[in-house]
Amino acid sequence: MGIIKATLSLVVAVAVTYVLTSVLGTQFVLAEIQSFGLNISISDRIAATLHDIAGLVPVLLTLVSATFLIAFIIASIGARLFGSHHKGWYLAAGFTSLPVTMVLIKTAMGITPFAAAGSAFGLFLIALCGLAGGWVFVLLLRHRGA
Amino acid sequence: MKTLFKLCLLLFLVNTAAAKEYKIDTIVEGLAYPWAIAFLPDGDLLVTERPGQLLRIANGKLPASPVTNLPDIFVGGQGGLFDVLLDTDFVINQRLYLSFASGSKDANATQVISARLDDNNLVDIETIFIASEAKDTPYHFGGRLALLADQTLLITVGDGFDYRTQAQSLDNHFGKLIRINTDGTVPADNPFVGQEDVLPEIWTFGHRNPQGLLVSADGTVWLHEHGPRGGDELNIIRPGRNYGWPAITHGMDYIGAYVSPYTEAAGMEQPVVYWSPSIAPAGFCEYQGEAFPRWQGNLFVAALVEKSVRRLVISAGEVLSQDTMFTELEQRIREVRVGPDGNLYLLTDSADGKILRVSPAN
Repeated sequence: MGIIKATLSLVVAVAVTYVLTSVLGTQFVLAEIQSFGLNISISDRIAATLHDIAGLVPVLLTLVSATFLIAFIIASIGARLFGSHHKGWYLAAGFTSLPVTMVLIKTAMGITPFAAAGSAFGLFLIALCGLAGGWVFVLLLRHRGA
Repeated sequence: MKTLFKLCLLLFLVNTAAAKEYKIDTIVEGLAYPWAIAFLPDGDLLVTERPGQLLRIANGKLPASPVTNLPDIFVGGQGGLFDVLLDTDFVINQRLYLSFASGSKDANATQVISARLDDNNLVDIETIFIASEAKDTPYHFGGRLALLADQTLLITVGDGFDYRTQAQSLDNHFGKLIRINTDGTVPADNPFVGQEDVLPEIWTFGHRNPQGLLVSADGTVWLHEHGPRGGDELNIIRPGRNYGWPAITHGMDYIGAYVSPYTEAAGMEQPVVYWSPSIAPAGFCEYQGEAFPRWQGNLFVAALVEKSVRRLVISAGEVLSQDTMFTELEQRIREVRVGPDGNLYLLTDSADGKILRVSPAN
């Protein structure tokens, strides 16, 4: 039962982080385009955001899922080995896992496939998206455990 | 029934005629990722291999040793030795131009040298261009060269992948077409000469990774460039123009998101034609020869991903039709050139790359 709860919580956490990261990525790209002098209407912005949420599923959703699975397993082990503060472990896992993955991809491939990850500020915002996922995960676990 | 039979017979005859239009012979094999070819006046071939070697091939045989005295070349990712171009007065001065990636994994750039070919050695080497700024990605170098009628040199420089937004800034060389004199100085009539915070070598901007460049017989400058996922472009180059990348594009990012939701914008050029899905255009030439009269004035685009060569029938700057050729080879085609004999020469892109000659079947 605990595994099922944890899995469902992970699925929701991944979904939240995926959507936030996708939306963030689109806004980054649109900001770049605006800097070239193009005006972006609200309808274009919404359409582009929705387009990317759908379009990023094969790559980014897979990436977030794999990253969170590994990170939260490590967090779970860490919390058991080093006592309490489960919440802190999962929040830390959520915050750090995606930026670390992006940096590893850059190191391995020599490029940054996700444009928003190309700057320290972008990585920080991606980390906040992961933190939100970690927070959702903790919240759901606590709620379901109550 | 008779009509159907006649139609089938006609189609058979047409197909048979087309199939027999050319034959393909292997001239040389065993080349490591050949990138470009030049035809020397004495009949020898100069071939660049991306891993950093320049070969002088005589009588269809690999040389015992490569051309010596090449500069240090950064080999990694898409980086390495790129184009070789003979000076218009090569017969007199033996000068040639080489483009390559220089630097290191953490700081590399597209560089061009001028040198004199002395038998199997490079001498009198001068660096005439280094792209600014250095980058830490081993991708999107551009690296194609062409000489204009006024003997100025055009150089394509890619956007460096991670630096794509820089293609819209004029204070760097990312995603630009460069025009310089062959001694490295800047022509006074370049479009941005004298403007503050603008590099004067820039001729056009807003390119992604241009790896095809030619000056056609009528003086038109053609350039093709790799798009991301879709959106490969064929452009007619006009000095000072903005070709849009990454503000507008017909391609998508590799991960499935928009590079831009826009395909057109004021002040940005539209391609003559674009290819989605990508064919990965590499080499480029205009057919001017007698071996294939039917191809006269056609443009040929080597395609890596499509494993083909596109033959483009052009009229008044527009593509009237396209043929996809040489797919029977099932090879990534890096380069396509017309030889002095009027035959077409192809370079296949692999660790066991080949020079292939396409000549009339009869």
